[in-house]
Amino acid sequence: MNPRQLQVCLAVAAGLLGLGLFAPCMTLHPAFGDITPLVRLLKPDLTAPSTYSILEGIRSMFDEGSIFIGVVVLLFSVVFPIWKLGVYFMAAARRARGLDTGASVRWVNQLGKWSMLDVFVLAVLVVAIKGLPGGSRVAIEWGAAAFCASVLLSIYISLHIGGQRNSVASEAAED
Amino acid sequence: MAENTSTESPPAPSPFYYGVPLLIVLAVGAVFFLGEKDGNEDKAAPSRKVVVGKDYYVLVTVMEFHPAKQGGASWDAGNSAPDLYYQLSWNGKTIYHTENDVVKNVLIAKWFGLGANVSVMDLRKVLSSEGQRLSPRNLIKAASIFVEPNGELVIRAYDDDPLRDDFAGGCAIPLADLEPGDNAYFIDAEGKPTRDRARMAADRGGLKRFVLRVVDSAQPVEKLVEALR
Repeated sequence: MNPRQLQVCLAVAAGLLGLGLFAPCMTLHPAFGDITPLVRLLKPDLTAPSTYSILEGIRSMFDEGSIFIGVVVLLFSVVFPIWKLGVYFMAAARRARGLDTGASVRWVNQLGKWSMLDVFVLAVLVVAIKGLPGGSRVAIEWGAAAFCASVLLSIYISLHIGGQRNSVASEAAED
Repeated sequence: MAENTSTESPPAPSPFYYGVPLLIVLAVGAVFFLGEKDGNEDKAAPSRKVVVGKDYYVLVTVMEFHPAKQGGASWDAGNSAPDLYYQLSWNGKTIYHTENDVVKNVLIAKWFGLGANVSVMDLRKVLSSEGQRLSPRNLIKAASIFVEPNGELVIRAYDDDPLRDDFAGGCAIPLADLEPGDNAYFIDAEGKPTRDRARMAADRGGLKRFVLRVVDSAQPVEKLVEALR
């Protein structure tokens, strides 16, 4: 994959990440077992579906006082993926100029295993909420698919960019 | 000199590249934010008229009387406030009334489009798996009308009294002028309904204003419940 193709893939991954963070990620459909119709009649707002994006989910964690979990999810679902893509963008630009991709790419690849934590957090959230009593259910929205696609695409990019020394630079060094 | 030039490293790229993904993510977020804002503005836009040839539920959700009857007499003995109820007539027939749901001793009465008189004892029957079932459609407390081009809905307001109910005012509203949602009407100096609050009669007496809620009856039950409550 040449640097230009890498940059296009990185732009797509960043776009998907943006969609994954801002677009609806999951919708919670509350239910109250046998008395759901009655609750729907008397207090419809309790049974109204709630849709969350990842960022809204993080904000609600902060609002409800779950600061530690909120910070962890913010770091590994928002900050780290953006930083990782930034490092790859810089690496692609360096490769385009015949330079080594730089130490930061090796750092990112070392920390790469953490990038799956965001998927893990999402899965745990879904399982946790799906386990609610009363027939409440969670519907996964397209924002989650965009987020996962961004993660997978960034993994694919890392395979092509991963700390390789550019051939031009290598040849120059050998000379 | 030529050898030195060929072995020189090209300049490193600008640090700007680190920020490119952040800019893209923020741009996507801005598009979402603007899209949501436009959506909210669309929701706040005035609703269109009712559709001729469709069925709707109608009810008065708010009704206000002047502090005195037309002519200046007080409503009830002891200077107490009136007991409000209303009737809806369509095609010359009374199709809905709240004589069994009088709001006592008020100048502003409110009614809801949903309700059930369920006692605590009956509630157990409703909640039990073998018990009675409440159907939302059976709980709708509104009149059903069919919108025709020249159709009219007549609203009559009364003060409920033990001997003879006092007529507080009334008016006819062309059905085609109604809008889905809440339609606020004010009674002007001539006793006619107007949507212009500035034309409302200040001290005419009797019926002062009311809000007529119009709900598309073809909606799913969940939306009907939300619209009528």
